[in-house]
Amino acid sequence: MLSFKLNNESGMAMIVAMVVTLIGTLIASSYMETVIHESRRSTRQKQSKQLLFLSEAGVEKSRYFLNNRDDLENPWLDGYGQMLDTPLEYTGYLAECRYEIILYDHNQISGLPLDQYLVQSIGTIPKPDGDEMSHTIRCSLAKLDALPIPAALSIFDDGDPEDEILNLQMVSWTIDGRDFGDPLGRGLYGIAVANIGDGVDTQLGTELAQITGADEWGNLLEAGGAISEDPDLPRDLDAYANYFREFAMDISGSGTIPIDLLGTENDYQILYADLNEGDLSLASIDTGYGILVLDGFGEFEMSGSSTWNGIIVGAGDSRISVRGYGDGVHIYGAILIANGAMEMDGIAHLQYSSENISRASQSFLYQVYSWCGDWGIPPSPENYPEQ
Amino acid sequence: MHRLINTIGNKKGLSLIETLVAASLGSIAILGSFSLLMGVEGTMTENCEAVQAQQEARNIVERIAREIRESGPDKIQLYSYPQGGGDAEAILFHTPRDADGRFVMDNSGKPDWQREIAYELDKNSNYLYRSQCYLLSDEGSPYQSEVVSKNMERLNFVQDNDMLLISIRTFADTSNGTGHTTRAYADFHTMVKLRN
Repeated sequence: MLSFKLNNESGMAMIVAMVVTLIGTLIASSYMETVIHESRRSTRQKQSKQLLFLSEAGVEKSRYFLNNRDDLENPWLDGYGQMLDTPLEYTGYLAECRYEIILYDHNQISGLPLDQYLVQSIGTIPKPDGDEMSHTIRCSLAKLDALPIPAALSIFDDGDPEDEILNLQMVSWTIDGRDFGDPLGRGLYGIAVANIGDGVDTQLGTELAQITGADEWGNLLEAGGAISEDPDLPRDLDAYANYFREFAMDISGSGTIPIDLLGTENDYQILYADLNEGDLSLASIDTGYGILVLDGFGEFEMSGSSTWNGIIVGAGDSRISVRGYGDGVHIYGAILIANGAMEMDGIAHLQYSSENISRASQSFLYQVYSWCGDWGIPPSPENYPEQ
Repeated sequence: MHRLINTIGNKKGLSLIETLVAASLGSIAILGSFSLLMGVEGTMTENCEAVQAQQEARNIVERIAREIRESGPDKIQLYSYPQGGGDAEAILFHTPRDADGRFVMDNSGKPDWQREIAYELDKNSNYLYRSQCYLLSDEGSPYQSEVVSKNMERLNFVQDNDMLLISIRTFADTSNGTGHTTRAYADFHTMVKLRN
Protein backbone atom coordinates (compact mmCIF):
# COMPACT_ATOMS: atom_id res chain seq x y z
CA MET A 1 0.00 0.00 0.00
CA LEU A 2 2.83 2.38 0.92
CA SER A 3 4.64 1.66 -2.33
CA PHE A 4 1.43 2.53 -4.25
CA LYS A 5 1.26 5.96 -2.57
CA LEU A 6 4.92 6.68 -3.20
CA ASN A 7 4.58 5.70 -6.81
CA ASN A 8 1.74 8.24 -7.38
CA GLU A 9 3.59 11.13 -5.69
CA SER A 10 5.14 12.02 -9.00
CA GLY A 11 1.75 13.58 -10.04
CA MET A 12 2.16 16.31 -7.41
CA ALA A 13 4.20 18.42 -9.84
CA MET A 14 1.26 18.42 -12.19
CA ILE A 15 -1.14 19.49 -9.47
CA VAL A 16 1.17 22.23 -8.25
CA ALA A 17 1.69 23.43 -11.81
CA MET A 18 -2.05 23.51 -12.37
CA VAL A 19 -2.70 25.42 -9.15
CA VAL A 20 0.03 27.94 -9.99
CA THR A 21 -1.32 28.30 -13.53
CA LEU A 22 -4.83 28.82 -12.20
CA ILE A 23 -3.72 31.53 -9.78
CA GLY A 24 -1.66 33.17 -12.52
CA THR A 25 -4.61 33.07 -14.90
CA LEU A 26 -6.89 34.65 -12.31
CA ILE A 27 -4.42 37.46 -11.65
CA ALA A 28 -3.78 38.02 -15.34
CA SER A 29 -7.47 38.06 -16.22
CA SER A 30 -8.19 40.54 -13.45
CA TYR A 31 -5.36 42.73 -14.74
CA MET A 32 -6.57 42.37 -18.31
CA GLU A 33 -10.03 43.46 -17.26
CA THR A 34 -8.59 46.63 -15.73
CA VAL A 35 -6.59 47.31 -18.87
CA ILE A 36 -9.60 46.72 -21.12
CA HIS A 37 -11.74 48.98 -18.92
CA GLU A 38 -9.10 51.71 -19.10
CA SER A 39 -8.78 51.27 -22.84
CA ARG A 40 -12.54 51.65 -23.26
CA ARG A 41 -12.52 54.81 -21.17
CA SER A 42 -9.74 56.32 -23.19
CA THR A 43 -11.54 55.42 -26.43
CA ARG A 44 -14.71 57.05 -25.12
CA GLN A 45 -12.75 60.17 -24.25
CA LYS A 46 -11.23 60.27 -27.71
CA GLN A 47 -14.68 59.88 -29.24
CA SER A 48 -16.13 62.63 -27.06
CA LYS A 49 -13.37 64.96 -28.31
CA GLN A 50 -14.16 63.99 -31.89
CA LEU A 51 -17.83 64.68 -31.25
CA LEU A 52 -17.07 68.06 -29.77
CA PHE A 53 -15.05 69.09 -32.82
CA LEU A 54 -17.64 67.59 -35.15
CA SER A 55 -20.47 69.60 -33.64
CA GLU A 56 -18.23 72.68 -33.68
CA ALA A 57 -17.88 72.12 -37.43
CA GLY A 58 -21.67 72.41 -37.63
CA VAL A 59 -21.58 75.76 -35.84
CA GLU A 60 -18.90 76.99 -38.26
CA LYS A 61 -21.02 75.82 -41.18
CA SER A 62 -23.93 77.84 -39.79
CA ARG A 63 -21.74 80.92 -39.58
CA TYR A 64 -20.64 80.28 -43.13
CA PHE A 65 -24.28 80.16 -44.27
CA LEU A 66 -25.02 83.44 -42.59
CA ASN A 67 -21.86 85.27 -43.55
CA ASN A 68 -21.94 84.25 -47.19
CA ARG A 69 -25.56 84.59 -48.05
CA ASP A 70 -26.30 86.57 -51.20
CA ASP A 71 -29.35 88.42 -50.10
CA LEU A 72 -29.11 90.27 -46.81
CA GLU A 73 -32.88 90.59 -46.62
CA ASN A 74 -33.37 86.84 -46.85
CA PRO A 75 -30.95 84.73 -44.86
CA TRP A 76 -32.49 81.54 -46.19
CA LEU A 77 -31.24 82.02 -49.72
CA ASP A 78 -28.26 79.87 -50.61
CA GLY A 79 -25.34 80.86 -52.83
CA TYR A 80 -27.20 79.79 -55.98
CA GLY A 81 -30.28 81.88 -55.30
CA GLN A 82 -32.35 78.93 -54.15
CA MET A 83 -34.83 79.46 -51.34
CA LEU A 84 -34.19 77.40 -48.24
CA ASP A 85 -36.83 76.20 -45.82
CA THR A 86 -37.13 77.61 -42.33
CA PRO A 87 -35.76 76.53 -40.01
CA LEU A 88 -32.75 75.65 -42.10
CA GLU A 89 -31.75 72.01 -41.69
CA TYR A 90 -28.50 70.76 -43.12
CA THR A 91 -26.38 67.64 -42.81
CA GLY A 92 -22.68 67.58 -43.55
CA TYR A 93 -20.51 64.46 -43.74
CA LEU A 94 -16.89 64.10 -42.70
CA ALA A 95 -15.70 60.57 -43.45
CA GLU A 96 -18.07 58.24 -41.56
CA CYS A 97 -19.07 61.00 -39.18
CA ARG A 98 -21.73 63.62 -39.71
CA TYR A 99 -23.07 66.81 -38.22
CA GLU A 100 -26.62 68.00 -38.48
CA ILE A 101 -27.51 71.63 -37.98
CA ILE A 102 -30.81 73.35 -37.46
CA LEU A 103 -30.75 77.12 -37.73
CA TYR A 104 -33.67 78.98 -36.18
CA ASP A 105 -34.58 82.61 -36.73
CA HIS A 106 -37.11 84.92 -35.10
CA ASN A 107 -39.96 83.24 -36.96
CA GLN A 108 -39.43 80.06 -34.97
CA ILE A 109 -38.36 81.56 -31.67
CA SER A 110 -40.36 84.31 -30.10
CA GLY A 111 -38.09 86.83 -28.46
CA LEU A 112 -35.15 86.19 -30.76
CA PRO A 113 -34.00 89.53 -32.21
CA LEU A 114 -34.33 90.00 -35.96
CA ASP A 115 -30.64 89.79 -36.70
CA GLN A 116 -29.94 86.87 -34.41
CA TYR A 117 -30.04 83.12 -34.90
CA LEU A 118 -30.04 80.05 -32.70
CA VAL A 119 -28.12 77.09 -34.06
CA GLN A 120 -28.33 73.53 -32.86
CA SER A 121 -25.50 71.35 -34.11
CA ILE A 122 -25.46 67.59 -33.49
CA GLY A 123 -22.27 65.68 -34.19
CA THR A 124 -22.67 61.91 -34.65
CA ILE A 125 -20.08 59.15 -35.00
CA PRO A 126 -20.70 55.43 -35.52
CA LYS A 127 -19.59 52.85 -32.97
CA PRO A 128 -18.18 49.43 -33.93
CA ASP A 129 -21.31 47.71 -32.58
CA GLY A 130 -23.46 49.58 -35.09
CA ASP A 131 -24.77 52.04 -32.53
CA GLU A 132 -24.07 55.79 -32.64
CA MET A 133 -22.77 58.45 -30.27
CA SER A 134 -23.78 62.07 -30.54
CA HIS A 135 -23.06 65.43 -28.97
CA THR A 136 -25.15 68.59 -29.25
CA ILE A 137 -24.05 72.20 -29.14
CA ARG A 138 -26.43 75.13 -29.09
CA CYS A 139 -25.26 78.65 -29.84
CA SER A 140 -26.74 82.03 -30.48
CA LEU A 141 -25.20 83.77 -33.46
CA ALA A 142 -25.26 87.53 -33.96
CA LYS A 143 -23.24 90.38 -35.28
CA LEU A 144 -21.45 92.65 -32.88
CA ASP A 145 -23.72 95.10 -31.13
CA ALA A 146 -23.99 98.13 -33.34
CA LEU A 147 -21.29 100.60 -32.45
CA PRO A 148 -22.84 103.50 -30.60
CA ILE A 149 -22.34 106.40 -32.98
CA PRO A 150 -23.97 109.48 -31.50
CA ALA A 151 -22.01 112.06 -33.53
CA ALA A 152 -19.61 112.62 -36.39
CA LEU A 153 -16.80 112.49 -33.84
CA SER A 154 -17.43 110.44 -30.69
CA ILE A 155 -14.93 110.66 -27.89
CA PHE A 156 -15.02 107.64 -25.60
CA ASP A 157 -13.35 109.58 -22.83
CA ASP A 158 -11.54 107.73 -20.08
CA GLY A 159 -12.41 110.54 -17.66
CA ASP A 160 -8.90 111.84 -17.10
CA PRO A 161 -9.09 115.67 -17.25
CA GLU A 162 -5.35 115.83 -17.90
CA ASP A 163 -5.79 114.22 -21.30
CA GLU A 164 -5.73 116.64 -24.18
CA ILE A 165 -7.86 114.76 -26.62
CA LEU A 166 -8.47 117.38 -29.26
CA ASN A 167 -5.88 119.46 -31.04
CA LEU A 168 -7.76 121.47 -33.64
CA GLN A 169 -5.68 124.11 -35.37
CA MET A 170 -7.13 127.42 -36.46
CA VAL A 171 -7.53 126.70 -40.14
CA SER A 172 -10.11 125.40 -42.57
CA TRP A 173 -11.54 122.28 -41.00
CA THR A 174 -15.14 121.34 -40.24
CA ILE A 175 -16.85 118.69 -38.19
CA ASP A 176 -20.40 118.26 -39.40
CA GLY A 177 -22.97 115.95 -37.84
CA ARG A 178 -25.57 116.55 -40.56
CA ASP A 179 -26.23 113.37 -42.46
CA PHE A 180 -24.45 113.49 -45.79
CA GLY A 181 -27.00 112.99 -48.54
CA ASP A 182 -30.09 113.26 -46.33
CA PRO A 183 -32.54 115.52 -48.21
CA LEU A 184 -34.19 116.69 -44.99
CA GLY A 185 -30.87 117.67 -43.47
CA ARG A 186 -31.35 115.39 -40.43
CA GLY A 187 -28.33 114.20 -38.56
CA LEU A 188 -26.49 113.99 -35.28
CA TYR A 189 -24.28 116.17 -33.15
CA GLY A 190 -20.93 117.23 -34.48
CA ILE A 191 -19.08 115.97 -31.42
CA ALA A 192 -20.23 113.69 -28.60
CA VAL A 193 -18.14 113.35 -25.49
CA ALA A 194 -18.68 111.61 -22.18
CA ASN A 195 -17.77 114.60 -20.08
CA ILE A 196 -17.51 118.14 -21.44
CA GLY A 197 -16.09 119.14 -18.09
CA ASP A 198 -12.92 117.34 -19.06
CA GLY A 199 -12.05 120.42 -21.05
CA VAL A 200 -13.10 119.49 -24.55
CA ASP A 201 -14.80 122.83 -25.11
CA THR A 202 -11.71 124.59 -23.77
CA GLN A 203 -9.58 122.60 -26.12
CA LEU A 204 -11.82 123.68 -28.98
CA GLY A 205 -11.18 127.32 -28.06
CA THR A 206 -12.38 129.78 -30.67
CA GLU A 207 -12.97 127.11 -33.29
CA LEU A 208 -16.42 126.23 -32.00
CA ALA A 209 -18.06 127.80 -35.04
CA GLN A 210 -16.54 125.17 -37.25
CA ILE A 211 -18.64 122.48 -35.62
CA THR A 212 -22.15 121.89 -36.84
CA GLY A 213 -24.83 119.28 -36.51
CA ALA A 214 -28.56 118.73 -36.84
CA ASP A 215 -31.34 117.30 -34.75
CA GLU A 216 -33.76 114.61 -35.84
CA TRP A 217 -36.04 117.19 -37.46
CA GLY A 218 -33.25 118.75 -39.49
CA ASN A 219 -32.78 121.85 -37.33
CA LEU A 220 -29.26 123.16 -37.59
CA LEU A 221 -27.04 122.92 -34.51
CA GLU A 222 -24.01 125.16 -34.34
CA ALA A 223 -20.94 125.72 -32.21
CA GLY A 224 -21.47 124.64 -28.58
CA GLY A 225 -24.97 123.44 -29.48
CA ALA A 226 -23.44 120.88 -31.82
CA ILE A 227 -21.50 119.30 -28.98
CA SER A 228 -23.28 116.64 -26.97
CA GLU A 229 -22.39 115.54 -23.47
CA ASP A 230 -23.24 111.86 -23.26
CA PRO A 231 -22.23 110.30 -19.93
CA ASP A 232 -23.43 106.90 -21.10
CA LEU A 233 -20.81 106.59 -23.79
CA PRO A 234 -18.77 103.43 -23.27
CA ARG A 235 -15.27 104.14 -22.11
CA ASP A 236 -13.59 101.22 -23.68
CA LEU A 237 -13.13 100.66 -27.39
CA ASP A 238 -10.72 97.79 -26.85
CA ALA A 239 -13.54 95.24 -26.96
CA TYR A 240 -14.39 96.44 -30.44
CA ALA A 241 -10.75 96.33 -31.47
CA ASN A 242 -10.50 92.73 -30.25
CA TYR A 243 -13.71 91.83 -32.05
CA PHE A 244 -12.54 93.22 -35.38
CA ARG A 245 -9.08 91.81 -34.98
CA GLU A 246 -10.44 88.27 -35.39
CA PHE A 247 -11.56 88.72 -38.96
CA ALA A 248 -10.13 92.05 -40.20
CA MET A 249 -7.27 92.25 -42.66
CA ASP A 250 -4.24 92.95 -40.53
CA ILE A 251 -2.17 95.79 -42.01
CA SER A 252 0.00 96.38 -38.93
CA GLY A 253 3.44 97.64 -39.80
CA SER A 254 2.65 98.30 -43.46
CA GLY A 255 3.31 102.06 -43.23
CA THR A 256 0.65 103.08 -45.72
CA ILE A 257 -2.65 101.35 -46.35
CA PRO A 258 -2.01 99.06 -49.36
CA ILE A 259 -3.93 100.25 -52.44
CA ASP A 260 -5.48 96.84 -53.06
CA LEU A 261 -6.98 96.91 -49.56
CA LEU A 262 -8.62 100.31 -49.87
CA GLY A 263 -11.86 98.72 -51.04
CA THR A 264 -14.48 100.17 -53.34
CA GLU A 265 -17.95 101.59 -53.06
CA ASN A 266 -19.35 98.08 -53.44
CA ASP A 267 -16.67 96.27 -51.48
CA TYR A 268 -16.13 97.68 -48.03
CA GLN A 269 -13.03 96.41 -46.27
CA ILE A 270 -12.33 95.78 -42.60
CA LEU A 271 -8.75 96.71 -41.74
CA TYR A 272 -6.92 96.41 -38.44
CA ALA A 273 -3.63 98.11 -37.61
CA ASP A 274 -1.65 97.72 -34.40
CA LEU A 275 0.24 101.02 -34.33
CA ASN A 276 2.78 99.57 -31.91
CA GLU A 277 4.25 98.01 -35.02
CA GLY A 278 4.57 101.36 -36.79
CA ASP A 279 2.57 104.40 -37.78
CA LEU A 280 0.07 104.27 -40.61
CA SER A 281 -0.88 106.77 -43.28
CA LEU A 282 -3.28 107.49 -46.11
CA ALA A 283 -2.02 110.19 -48.46
CA SER A 284 -2.37 111.83 -51.85
CA ILE A 285 -5.77 111.25 -53.44
CA ASP A 286 -6.22 107.72 -52.11
CA THR A 287 -9.76 106.79 -51.14
CA GLY A 288 -10.65 104.05 -48.71
CA TYR A 289 -13.95 102.30 -47.96
CA GLY A 290 -14.89 100.34 -44.86
CA ILE A 291 -13.90 100.10 -41.23
CA LEU A 292 -10.41 101.03 -40.14
CA VAL A 293 -9.56 99.87 -36.62
CA LEU A 294 -6.49 101.41 -35.00
CA ASP A 295 -4.99 99.94 -31.87
CA GLY A 296 -1.88 100.34 -29.76
CA PHE A 297 0.27 103.44 -29.37
CA GLY A 298 1.04 105.37 -32.55
CA GLU A 299 -0.30 107.70 -35.22
CA PHE A 300 -2.58 107.32 -38.19
CA GLU A 301 -2.21 110.27 -40.54
CA MET A 302 -4.56 111.26 -43.34
CA SER A 303 -3.02 113.92 -45.55
CA GLY A 304 -3.24 115.54 -48.98
CA SER A 305 -6.66 115.03 -50.54
CA SER A 306 -7.30 111.54 -49.23
CA THR A 307 -10.79 110.30 -48.40
CA TRP A 308 -12.24 107.66 -46.11
CA ASN A 309 -15.80 106.38 -46.44
CA GLY A 310 -16.99 104.48 -43.40
CA ILE A 311 -15.87 104.26 -39.79
CA ILE A 312 -12.48 104.91 -38.19
CA VAL A 313 -12.10 103.41 -34.70
CA GLY A 314 -9.18 104.74 -32.66
CA ALA A 315 -8.80 102.20 -29.83
CA GLY A 316 -5.89 101.86 -27.43
CA ASP A 317 -3.73 104.98 -27.38
CA SER A 318 -3.87 105.62 -31.10
CA ARG A 319 -3.74 109.19 -32.37
CA ILE A 320 -5.55 110.29 -35.51
CA SER A 321 -4.05 113.24 -37.41
CA VAL A 322 -5.82 114.85 -40.33
CA ARG A 323 -3.68 117.31 -42.32
CA GLY A 324 -5.29 118.25 -45.62
CA TYR A 325 -4.27 120.45 -48.47
CA GLY A 326 -5.44 120.97 -52.05
CA ASP A 327 -9.02 119.70 -52.05
CA GLY A 328 -8.49 118.64 -48.48
CA VAL A 329 -9.06 115.46 -46.52
CA HIS A 330 -12.64 114.14 -46.42
CA ILE A 331 -14.10 111.58 -44.06
CA TYR A 332 -17.67 110.53 -44.78
CA GLY A 333 -18.92 108.41 -41.92
CA ALA A 334 -17.76 108.74 -38.34
CA ILE A 335 -14.70 108.66 -36.13
CA LEU A 336 -14.59 107.08 -32.68
CA ILE A 337 -11.62 107.69 -30.43
CA ALA A 338 -10.76 106.52 -26.93
CA ASN A 339 -7.66 107.36 -24.93
CA GLY A 340 -5.66 108.77 -27.79
CA ALA A 341 -6.02 112.13 -29.49
CA MET A 342 -7.47 113.72 -32.59
CA GLU A 343 -5.67 116.44 -34.47
CA MET A 344 -7.09 118.41 -37.40
CA ASP A 345 -5.05 120.81 -39.44
CA GLY A 346 -5.24 122.42 -42.87
CA ILE A 347 -8.22 121.68 -45.06
CA ALA A 348 -10.18 118.81 -43.56
CA HIS A 349 -13.83 117.83 -43.37
CA LEU A 350 -15.40 115.21 -41.18
CA GLN A 351 -18.96 114.61 -42.27
CA TYR A 352 -21.38 112.15 -40.69
CA SER A 353 -22.88 109.70 -43.22
CA SER A 354 -25.46 107.14 -42.13
CA GLU A 355 -25.28 105.45 -45.54
CA ASN A 356 -21.55 104.79 -45.32
CA ILE A 357 -21.85 103.67 -41.71
CA SER A 358 -24.65 101.28 -42.65
CA ARG A 359 -22.59 99.82 -45.49
CA ALA A 360 -19.62 99.41 -43.21
CA SER A 361 -21.75 97.70 -40.57
CA GLN A 362 -23.02 95.16 -43.09
CA SER A 363 -19.52 93.83 -43.40
CA PHE A 364 -19.62 92.66 -39.79
CA LEU A 365 -19.55 88.89 -39.55
CA TYR A 366 -21.78 86.65 -37.49
CA GLN A 367 -20.08 85.61 -34.29
CA VAL A 368 -20.94 83.13 -31.57
CA TYR A 369 -22.67 85.18 -28.90
CA SER A 370 -23.14 82.32 -26.49
CA TRP A 371 -21.93 78.73 -26.63
CA CYS A 372 -23.57 75.88 -24.77
CA GLY A 373 -22.49 72.24 -24.47
CA ASP A 374 -24.94 69.39 -24.03
CA TRP A 375 -24.87 68.94 -20.28
CA GLY A 376 -27.54 70.42 -18.05
CA ILE A 377 -30.35 72.27 -19.80
CA PRO A 378 -29.24 74.06 -22.95
CA PRO A 379 -31.01 77.01 -24.57
CA SER A 380 -33.59 75.79 -27.04
CA PRO A 381 -36.49 77.25 -29.01
CA GLU A 382 -38.69 76.39 -26.03
CA ASN A 383 -36.69 78.04 -23.28
CA TYR A 384 -35.16 80.98 -25.12
CA PRO A 385 -35.46 84.11 -22.95
CA GLU A 386 -38.43 86.32 -23.69
CA GLN A 387 -37.78 89.90 -24.71
CA MET B 1 -2.80 -11.62 -12.20
CA HIS B 2 -0.90 -13.17 -9.40
CA ARG B 3 2.33 -12.43 -11.21
CA LEU B 4 1.37 -8.81 -11.62
CA ILE B 5 0.70 -8.41 -7.88
CA ASN B 6 4.04 -9.99 -7.19
CA THR B 7 5.75 -7.59 -9.56
CA ILE B 8 4.25 -4.53 -7.79
CA GLY B 9 4.90 -5.98 -4.43
CA ASN B 10 8.46 -6.64 -5.25
CA LYS B 11 9.20 -3.15 -6.48
CA LYS B 12 11.02 -1.14 -3.89
CA GLY B 13 9.72 2.29 -2.86
CA LEU B 14 11.68 5.52 -3.01
CA SER B 15 14.54 5.70 -0.61
CA LEU B 16 14.62 8.38 2.09
CA ILE B 17 17.27 10.31 0.23
CA GLU B 18 15.31 10.19 -2.99
CA THR B 19 12.24 11.43 -1.16
CA LEU B 20 14.16 14.27 0.49
CA VAL B 21 15.73 15.30 -2.80
CA ALA B 22 12.35 15.20 -4.53
CA ALA B 23 10.76 17.21 -1.70
CA SER B 24 13.61 19.77 -1.82
CA LEU B 25 13.35 20.15 -5.56
CA GLY B 26 9.58 20.43 -5.32
CA SER B 27 9.86 23.11 -2.61
CA ILE B 28 12.35 25.09 -4.67
CA ALA B 29 10.06 24.90 -7.69
CA ILE B 30 7.02 25.97 -5.65
CA LEU B 31 8.91 28.79 -3.93
CA GLY B 32 10.18 29.98 -7.30
CA SER B 33 6.70 29.93 -8.74
CA PHE B 34 5.28 31.86 -5.80
CA SER B 35 8.01 34.45 -5.83
CA LEU B 36 7.30 34.92 -9.54
CA LEU B 37 3.61 35.22 -8.77
CA MET B 38 4.32 37.75 -6.03
CA GLY B 39 6.37 39.77 -8.47
CA VAL B 40 3.60 39.66 -11.04
CA GLU B 41 1.06 40.63 -8.42
CA GLY B 42 3.24 43.53 -7.29
CA THR B 43 3.56 44.80 -10.83
CA MET B 44 -0.15 44.39 -11.32
CA THR B 45 -0.88 46.34 -8.14
CA GLU B 46 1.39 49.16 -9.29
CA ASN B 47 -0.27 49.22 -12.68
CA CYS B 48 -3.70 49.24 -11.08
CA GLU B 49 -2.64 52.19 -8.95
CA ALA B 50 -1.39 53.99 -12.05
CA VAL B 51 -4.66 53.29 -13.83
CA GLN B 52 -6.61 54.45 -10.80
CA ALA B 53 -4.61 57.67 -10.61
CA GLN B 54 -5.03 58.16 -14.34
CA GLN B 55 -8.78 57.64 -14.19
CA GLU B 56 -9.11 60.14 -11.38
CA ALA B 57 -7.00 62.66 -13.30
CA ARG B 58 -9.08 62.18 -16.41
CA ASN B 59 -12.38 62.56 -14.56
CA ILE B 60 -11.23 65.74 -12.85
CA VAL B 61 -9.88 67.32 -16.02
CA GLU B 62 -13.06 66.44 -17.91
CA ARG B 63 -15.18 68.00 -15.21
CA ILE B 64 -13.13 71.20 -15.02
CA ALA B 65 -12.88 71.49 -18.82
CA ARG B 66 -16.61 71.02 -19.29
CA GLU B 67 -17.38 73.89 -16.94
CA ILE B 68 -14.62 76.22 -18.03
CA ARG B 69 -15.39 75.72 -21.73
CA GLU B 70 -18.60 77.71 -21.19
CA SER B 71 -16.78 80.57 -19.52
CA GLY B 72 -15.05 83.46 -21.26
CA PRO B 73 -11.48 84.76 -21.51
CA ASP B 74 -12.35 87.84 -19.46
CA LYS B 75 -14.33 85.82 -16.92
CA ILE B 76 -11.35 83.90 -15.55
CA GLN B 77 -8.88 84.72 -12.83
CA LEU B 78 -5.82 82.65 -12.00
CA TYR B 79 -4.09 82.64 -8.63
CA SER B 80 -0.57 81.61 -7.70
CA TYR B 81 0.87 80.43 -4.44
CA PRO B 82 4.46 80.89 -3.29
CA GLN B 83 5.19 77.20 -3.62
CA GLY B 84 3.72 77.19 -7.04
CA GLY B 85 6.79 78.56 -8.79
CA GLY B 86 4.73 81.19 -10.56
CA ASP B 87 2.02 79.02 -12.05
CA ALA B 88 -1.51 79.20 -10.77
CA GLU B 89 -2.93 76.68 -8.38
CA ALA B 90 -6.40 78.06 -8.21
CA ILE B 91 -8.84 79.28 -10.78
CA LEU B 92 -11.96 81.40 -10.44
CA PHE B 93 -14.41 81.71 -13.30
CA HIS B 94 -17.98 82.63 -14.13
CA THR B 95 -20.51 80.24 -15.60
CA PRO B 96 -23.87 80.96 -17.22
CA ARG B 97 -25.39 77.79 -15.67
CA ASP B 98 -27.89 78.37 -12.92
CA ALA B 99 -28.54 76.15 -9.89
CA ASP B 100 -30.60 73.75 -12.01
CA GLY B 101 -27.91 73.44 -14.63
CA ARG B 102 -29.88 75.61 -17.05
CA PHE B 103 -27.83 77.67 -19.51
CA VAL B 104 -29.05 81.24 -19.10
CA MET B 105 -28.83 83.89 -21.81
CA ASP B 106 -29.89 87.51 -21.63
CA ASN B 107 -32.24 89.13 -24.13
CA SER B 108 -29.42 89.90 -26.52
CA GLY B 109 -28.40 86.25 -26.67
CA LYS B 110 -25.23 86.67 -24.63
CA PRO B 111 -24.48 84.50 -21.60
CA ASP B 112 -26.06 85.74 -18.41
CA TRP B 113 -23.45 84.89 -15.79
CA GLN B 114 -25.07 83.06 -12.90
CA ARG B 115 -22.38 81.54 -10.71
CA GLU B 116 -18.77 81.96 -9.75
CA ILE B 117 -16.86 78.70 -9.48
CA ALA B 118 -13.42 78.15 -7.98
CA TYR B 119 -11.12 75.13 -8.13
CA GLU B 120 -8.40 75.29 -5.53
CA LEU B 121 -5.69 72.85 -4.51
CA ASP B 122 -4.70 72.64 -0.84
CA LYS B 123 -1.12 71.51 -1.06
CA ASN B 124 -0.93 70.46 2.55
CA SER B 125 -3.77 67.98 2.39
CA ASN B 126 -3.60 67.30 -1.37
CA TYR B 127 -7.33 67.99 -1.49
CA LEU B 128 -8.87 69.65 -4.53
CA TYR B 129 -11.83 71.84 -3.58
CA ARG B 130 -14.57 73.08 -5.82
CA SER B 131 -16.42 76.09 -4.47
CA GLN B 132 -19.27 78.08 -5.92
CA CYS B 133 -21.45 81.07 -5.15
CA TYR B 134 -24.35 82.72 -6.93
CA LEU B 135 -23.64 86.06 -8.55
CA LEU B 136 -27.20 87.30 -8.70
CA SER B 137 -28.08 86.91 -5.03
CA ASP B 138 -28.97 90.26 -3.47
CA GLU B 139 -27.57 89.35 -0.08
CA GLY B 140 -24.41 87.85 -1.43
CA SER B 141 -24.23 84.12 -1.62
CA PRO B 142 -21.74 82.29 0.60
CA TYR B 143 -19.31 79.92 -1.04
CA GLN B 144 -20.31 76.27 -0.94
CA SER B 145 -17.35 73.93 -1.09
CA GLU B 146 -16.95 70.26 -1.88
CA VAL B 147 -13.92 68.03 -2.10
CA VAL B 148 -13.44 66.84 -5.65
CA SER B 149 -10.27 64.83 -5.10
CA LYS B 150 -8.18 63.74 -2.14
CA ASN B 151 -5.26 62.63 -4.23
CA MET B 152 -4.03 65.64 -6.10
CA GLU B 153 -0.46 66.81 -6.00
CA ARG B 154 -0.37 69.50 -8.65
CA LEU B 155 -2.82 71.79 -10.42
CA ASN B 156 -1.71 74.35 -12.99
CA PHE B 157 -3.51 76.68 -15.35
CA VAL B 158 -1.92 78.77 -18.07
CA GLN B 159 -4.12 81.13 -20.06
CA ASP B 160 -3.36 82.55 -23.50
CA ASN B 161 -6.28 84.71 -24.65
CA ASP B 162 -9.17 82.29 -25.17
CA MET B 163 -7.07 79.16 -24.69
CA LEU B 164 -6.49 77.60 -21.29
CA LEU B 165 -4.00 74.83 -20.54
CA ILE B 166 -4.99 72.64 -17.61
CA SER B 167 -2.31 70.41 -16.06
CA ILE B 168 -2.87 68.15 -13.09
CA ARG B 169 -1.04 65.38 -11.25
CA THR B 170 -2.94 62.85 -9.20
CA PHE B 171 -1.67 59.90 -7.22
CA ALA B 172 -2.89 56.61 -5.79
CA ASP B 173 -1.44 54.92 -2.70
CA THR B 174 -1.53 51.23 -1.91
CA SER B 175 -0.26 49.46 1.20
CA ASN B 176 1.09 45.93 0.67
CA GLY B 177 0.31 44.84 4.24
CA THR B 178 3.92 44.99 5.45
CA GLY B 179 3.69 48.70 6.20
CA HIS B 180 5.28 49.57 2.89
CA THR B 181 3.22 51.98 0.78
CA THR B 182 3.66 52.46 -2.94
CA ARG B 183 2.46 55.56 -4.78
CA ALA B 184 1.67 55.86 -8.46
CA TYR B 185 1.33 59.19 -10.27
CA ALA B 186 -0.62 60.29 -13.30
CA ASP B 187 -0.04 63.53 -15.19
CA PHE B 188 -2.78 64.87 -17.39
CA HIS B 189 -2.81 67.94 -19.63
CA THR B 190 -5.55 69.34 -21.78
CA MET B 191 -6.13 72.52 -23.75
CA VAL B 192 -9.56 74.11 -23.52
CA LYS B 193 -10.97 76.87 -25.69
CA LEU B 194 -13.04 79.37 -23.72
CA ARG B 195 -16.14 79.64 -25.88
CA ASN B 196 -18.12 82.50 -24.37
